[in-house]
Amino acid sequence: MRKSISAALLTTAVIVLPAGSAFAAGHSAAAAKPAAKKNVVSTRTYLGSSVDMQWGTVQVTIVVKGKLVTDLKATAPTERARSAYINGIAVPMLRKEVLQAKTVAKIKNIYGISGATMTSEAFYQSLLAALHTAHLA
Amino acid sequence: MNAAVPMARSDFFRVEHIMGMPILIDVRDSDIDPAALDRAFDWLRWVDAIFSTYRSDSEISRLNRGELALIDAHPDVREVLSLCDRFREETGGYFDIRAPAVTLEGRADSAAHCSDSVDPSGLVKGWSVGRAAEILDAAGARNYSINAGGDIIARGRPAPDPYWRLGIQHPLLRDQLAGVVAITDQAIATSGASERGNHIIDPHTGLPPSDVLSVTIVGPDLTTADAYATAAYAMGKAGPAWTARLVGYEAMTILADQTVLSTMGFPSIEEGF
Repeated sequence: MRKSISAALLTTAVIVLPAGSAFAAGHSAAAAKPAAKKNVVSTRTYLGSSVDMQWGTVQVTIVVKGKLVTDLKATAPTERARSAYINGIAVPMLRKEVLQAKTVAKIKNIYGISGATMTSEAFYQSLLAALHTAHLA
Repeated sequence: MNAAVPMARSDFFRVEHIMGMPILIDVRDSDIDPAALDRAFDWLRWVDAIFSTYRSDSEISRLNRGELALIDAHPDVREVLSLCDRFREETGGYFDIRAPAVTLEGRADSAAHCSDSVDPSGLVKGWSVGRAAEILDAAGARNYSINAGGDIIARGRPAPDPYWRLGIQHPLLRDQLAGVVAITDQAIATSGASERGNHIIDPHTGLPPSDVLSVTIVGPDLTTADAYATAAYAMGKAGPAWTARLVGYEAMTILADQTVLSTMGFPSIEEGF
């Protein structure tokens, strides 16, 4: 059951905890506080077991007050796993395209070219910039 | 043949060859003292004299030969070297001015790796251009660009255009662009294998990255953009994920398989813009 802590739970931070779920039942937990008096809503901390994810091992801690989860923390035991976890969510944030070649002369008003350090290219861009300064291009 | 057309306004547009590359200053404000450009170029020539590894009498050459103690070096030299340390730490060691030289066979030169020789040229370029920009700022310039061999600071705008439109060198086709950005009050730097041979290596392996063609970084500070571009390029395949975590800096990485990975805020524009 504990393996059901899904990647989606960790990455979206949307916490859905149906009553009677594995967590709420607390069977895996090290209870942090002793049971409270009957008429007081008790707060308990549950430590999930370590789960192997694609980015490394992750462990989840939840704080439950009555039947509500009031806090959730996902911790990765190592820096490497933490970094891989962040990469796991960072990579999908990148826009992916296929490299295209664009002809300089076809683009309006280019004032310079980043990455062109060769003399010939620099000369070309210098000429281009000069032409633009002179409002000729 | 048409009648002679006016050429560039030479007072405010100048190219000089310094630090082994052409440096362009293009000021669009007509109300500043043109002597500010002289001062900016004087500064860049001074930087070359102090930092060049090609000049045996530069402070860097004397430091590397052990003839000059760091404590006796010019404050600017100490500033640059401490910036290099900062970026080495910030990039997990991927920006390293002590990276070993690569032999003709493509292997790390272990003898060079053991030496204490430093070559801060990669950082000096962006840093010195940043200072040149401050000279122009002090003279009241608000709209200008400084282009040092493809590393560019773009302030304000080239009226009537609202932005500086800058191309990104295509890593495989010399006369083509891989993209165009539109920026204002930003800097842009590109690192890749296409220029001057493959001079950037992964300091951890001593080898040039094989799976990345180039990395372009856009952000507020040119020194930082330059260091990040160098580091992300050296990281190879892991570079794009690292760039996705940068704060205030956007990146475009071109992989060897010609996939382009850009961060969401990368200021690309389409050709028709």
